[in-house]
Amino acid sequence: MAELSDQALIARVTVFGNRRAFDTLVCRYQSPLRRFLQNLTGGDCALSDDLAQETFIKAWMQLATFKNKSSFETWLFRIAYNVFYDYIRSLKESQSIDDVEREVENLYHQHANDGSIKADVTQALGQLNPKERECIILFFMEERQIKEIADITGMPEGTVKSHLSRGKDKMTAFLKQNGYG
Amino acid sequence: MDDEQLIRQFMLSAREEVSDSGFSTRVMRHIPNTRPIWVFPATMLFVVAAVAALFIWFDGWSVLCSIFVHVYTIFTYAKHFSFNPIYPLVFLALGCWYLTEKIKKLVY
Repeated sequence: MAELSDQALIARVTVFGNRRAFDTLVCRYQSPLRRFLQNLTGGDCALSDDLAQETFIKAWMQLATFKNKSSFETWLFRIAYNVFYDYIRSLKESQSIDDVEREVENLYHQHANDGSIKADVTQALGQLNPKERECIILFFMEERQIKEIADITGMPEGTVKSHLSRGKDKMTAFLKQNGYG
Repeated sequence: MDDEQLIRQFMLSAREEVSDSGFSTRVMRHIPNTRPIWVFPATMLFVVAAVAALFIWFDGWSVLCSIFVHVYTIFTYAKHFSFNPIYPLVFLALGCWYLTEKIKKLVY
């Protein structure tokens, strides 16, 4: 079943409830999805695996609503992104945007130096604010297009571009300061 | 090397594949059943009952016997071969078997 396209596997899952087809999709996308969540959580493997598991369970439950407007992988990343922010909101009673961003920062820096991802990349990403970091991770690490990043994060393409531009400037400054340039 | 290439190279140097290590098995254990467990056996029971009823209704044994006799005749007296309406039934039966196998693959 591993050689079947995403569309064929999705059809088997939605029409027949075929678990083996869904297992193939999980095996196919677990690596990029877990890596994305690990980067968002500052390298907390246990937390990112829990969030990835919740993402796949949500994908299983909502697969019938997948409309093929974006790729399955982009759709999956969008669910993961929402699962991550649901988790962040669950940590705080207050739901204001500032509180949520502060919580993302706390979570990131709490795990940023535990050596689970390459330390300088983690440190470099730590210079950015959460939105810039998400755009930089998706653009450079996951090699997503601007439109896909906009689909995943729910931000307009123009906003993604400005976050990317500011993020690039900060990253470049950091890299040059640390002898990479 | 421009700034974008520098960042890309730097980020990709930290990019690595995350090994499965039992993750997908753990996910599949937590996937809920979206339909009751009795649906597939009940459907199969209904189909088998319907086929059995049709078999009795159309006197399936005599159809099968005549198919056997005709096939035997074809192989024994090949030079006297002639078309018989029974033959499409043989192809239909084979087609049904093939479709069942395909459906089993789709469901499981």
